[in-house]
Amino acid sequence: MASFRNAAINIVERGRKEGKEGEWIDSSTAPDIYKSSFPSPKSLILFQSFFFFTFLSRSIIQNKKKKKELKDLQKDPPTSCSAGPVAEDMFHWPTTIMGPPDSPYARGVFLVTIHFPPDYPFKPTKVAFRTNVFHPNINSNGSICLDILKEQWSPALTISKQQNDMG
Amino acid sequence: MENNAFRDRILEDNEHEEIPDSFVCCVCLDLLYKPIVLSCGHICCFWCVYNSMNCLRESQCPVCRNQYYHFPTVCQLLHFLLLKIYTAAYKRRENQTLEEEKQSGFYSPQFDPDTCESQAKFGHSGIPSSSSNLNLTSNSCNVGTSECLEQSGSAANEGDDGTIYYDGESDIIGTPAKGKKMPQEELSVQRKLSVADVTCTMCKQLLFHPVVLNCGHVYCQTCVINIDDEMLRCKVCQSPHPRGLPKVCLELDHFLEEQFPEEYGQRRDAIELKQIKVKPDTPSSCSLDNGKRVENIDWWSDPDPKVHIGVGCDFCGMFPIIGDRYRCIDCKEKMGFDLCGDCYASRSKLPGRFNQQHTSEHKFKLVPPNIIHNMMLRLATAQLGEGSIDLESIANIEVTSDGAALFDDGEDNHNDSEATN
Repeated sequence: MASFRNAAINIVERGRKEGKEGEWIDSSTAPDIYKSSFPSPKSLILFQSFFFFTFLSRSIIQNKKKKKELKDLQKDPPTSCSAGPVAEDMFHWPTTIMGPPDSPYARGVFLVTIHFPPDYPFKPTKVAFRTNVFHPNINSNGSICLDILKEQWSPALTISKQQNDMG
Repeated sequence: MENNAFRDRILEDNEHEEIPDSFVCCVCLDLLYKPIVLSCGHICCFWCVYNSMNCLRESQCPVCRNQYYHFPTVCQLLHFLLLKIYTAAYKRRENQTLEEEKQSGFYSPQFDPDTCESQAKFGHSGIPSSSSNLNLTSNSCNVGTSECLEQSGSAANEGDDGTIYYDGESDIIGTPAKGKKMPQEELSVQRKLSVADVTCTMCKQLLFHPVVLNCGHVYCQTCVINIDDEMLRCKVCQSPHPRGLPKVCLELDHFLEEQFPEEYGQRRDAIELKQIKVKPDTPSSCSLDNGKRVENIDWWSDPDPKVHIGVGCDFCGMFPIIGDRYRCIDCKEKMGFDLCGDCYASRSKLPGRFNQQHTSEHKFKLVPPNIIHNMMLRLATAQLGEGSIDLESIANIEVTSDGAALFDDGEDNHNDSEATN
């Protein structure tokens, strides 16, 4: 648990050092060139985050394959995401996502919160962006408009399934 | 310290037995426990299917989102198959599930391992034993283990009994593939497993393209296709299978092809010969479409709905019950025992979906649907639009229900929704 938290703090600090807070991508300050060209940003950001969180969270929340998953993560951590529970609350994960390079979100740091319902995985997780993002599927409140997180949720969402839905 | 040691043991047990991906539940990411095969051919654990079902409308398969309306019965053939092959992992899963069931108060059905042979011979469905205890469960596990040892030790006796249908079976088990070097695990698997464990109930031969009906019995696809009845019925328990032909269970099919390559090849050749001679009509998808049209009507748009939210039939598995609902007065379990109108009229004597102690002497009571419940649900649906309804709104509606007669219904629904949560 502590390794996740330290990794998240390091990424946040690194993001703040590299750029000013004003340089975070904000809908009000985005230049016009960004609005006209979007190389499928939906699949870039959303696929990465849910690929990672949904698969990992199911294993950790249910206390199954716990050590194996943690070992795999420590050996090969993902480059643009960092997530994990804080303190003892396993059902609330503050998360940091680095914007992928070669996209309008490059060099941005996005805060995302994930709430797990008590009957997870039979009910979907509640994921919301806490940083303002200019994205057609994310509204001003940070809610994500994605049907697999609402009525099309399935308890057996896997990597390939998400890829098909979002690709 | 103790917890860490216990977890290390569990991890070591996991590492000893490598579970293939085909027998891992896609919801809980662990070995299948009391597997249920849906009509689309996907396999899930008993509690994973139950918790995934929608108590308001049609349910969807977690993997392919195929819609279904009936909660299938546990497939006993798969249950005992997994118990034989992955004994340690299956016991661990059994202990885990028992603890969870004790906390929630709902129990899954119990199967007597003595009926394993009788099921292979006669195909009878298992009789539920008394409510499960740790001691009783461990005893039955020991009995199962000893049976496995006896079967592996006395292949000749099995040949004498006539339960093995191929003459060369014992030779194949005894000396598998002389030239090859097989891994130790596969050798042990082949010694334990025999063709008698995976035979079709109708033709008494090795399963070819296995399909599993709603009652949990397994048939070859060709044995089921040739039946000309409008409603597909199981030959063993005479219960109807809803909504057309089920699809082939591909994981089980691939498993059989790997474990018995020679017998499977013979079966394929024989079936191809039959198909060349007879050329049967292949079933079209009209039956599925017809079923879908009927089922897709939203029930709350009807002027006088008879839907019992959160209550399922214990014989055919309809969930929620549409039409008449008959509740058993004498069953004391927390889950309760309910029948729909058709099952009550047919007077079948199958065991319940859960571990109820229902007998034929028990009496039933016709329960009317909770009208206030349905009306408030209709209002909530109108406000929310076509979105899905949370269970929280259902809980709020249940709290507001009044009246002594409705209180029993509310209590039952609350228990079921509590189980769903």
